[in-house]
Amino acid sequence: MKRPDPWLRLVAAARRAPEDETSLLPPGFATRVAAQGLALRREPADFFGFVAIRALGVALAVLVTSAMASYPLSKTSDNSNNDLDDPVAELVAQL
Amino acid sequence: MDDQAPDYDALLAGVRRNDQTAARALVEALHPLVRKIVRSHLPRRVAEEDLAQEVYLKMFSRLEQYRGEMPLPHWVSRIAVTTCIDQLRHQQRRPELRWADLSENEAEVLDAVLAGSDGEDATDALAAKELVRRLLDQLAPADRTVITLLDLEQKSVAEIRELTGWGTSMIKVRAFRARRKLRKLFEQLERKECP
Repeated sequence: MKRPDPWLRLVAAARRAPEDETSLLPPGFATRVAAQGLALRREPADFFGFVAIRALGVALAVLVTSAMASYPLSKTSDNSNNDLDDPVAELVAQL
Repeated sequence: MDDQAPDYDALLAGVRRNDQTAARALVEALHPLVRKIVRSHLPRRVAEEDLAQEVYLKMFSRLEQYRGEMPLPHWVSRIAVTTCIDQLRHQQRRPELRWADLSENEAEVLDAVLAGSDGEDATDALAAKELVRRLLDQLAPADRTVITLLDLEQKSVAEIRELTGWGTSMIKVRAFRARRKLRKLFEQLERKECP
């Protein structure tokens, strides 16, 4: 004989549980959510403005940082060029 | 009791004019529906109120996408169900269900269903409900949602399709997979109880 499915028996028992009918909204919940919801609907334009300003700030910061980072390098490369010039100057002097 | 159905069109028009009173009235009108969905799909350690709030905020932010092809409560139900599934997905680890974790009532109910009888009184029913929740926690989020809608809420496949947006075959596959996993869980629990 096929054994009855315990899951189906269990859900059948669970369905008999009394429903918790407390559908009362927590105090102030609807007002708070409505205000947040409406604010969210007004938000997109402000949001893009906010993001654009932030993006500009970040771009400036990146520009300054990269300029600062590349300065010592170019200085070093200038020095190294000078170093490279020296042997040639020595060779010319020997001639 | 006020049995009059809320005038959703008027409330929506009010919300579109940024009318705070209309927005509040809309939340109040939809709350029994949203509360019911959130409560039956609530993940562990998530407050019912927080999840309901997330549903309403999604509803407000997507209101421009609502074209009135279906009644507003249906559209909001779908948002509620998908929000619950997203929350369930964030729920990382599913702790293994052990016999020792069950309360005395839950263990009795489990014994009864394994023996082929079922809970008769309200205490048994409440314990069965809690046990169902524990078992559902072991399933993948989408499988859990399907089996909750199908077996607990006794919704038809067509209704589930409308609520989730999934196809019939996907719903059936998920239900099959969930029931197979549940059968396995029952077998594991049974083995652990009688080593």
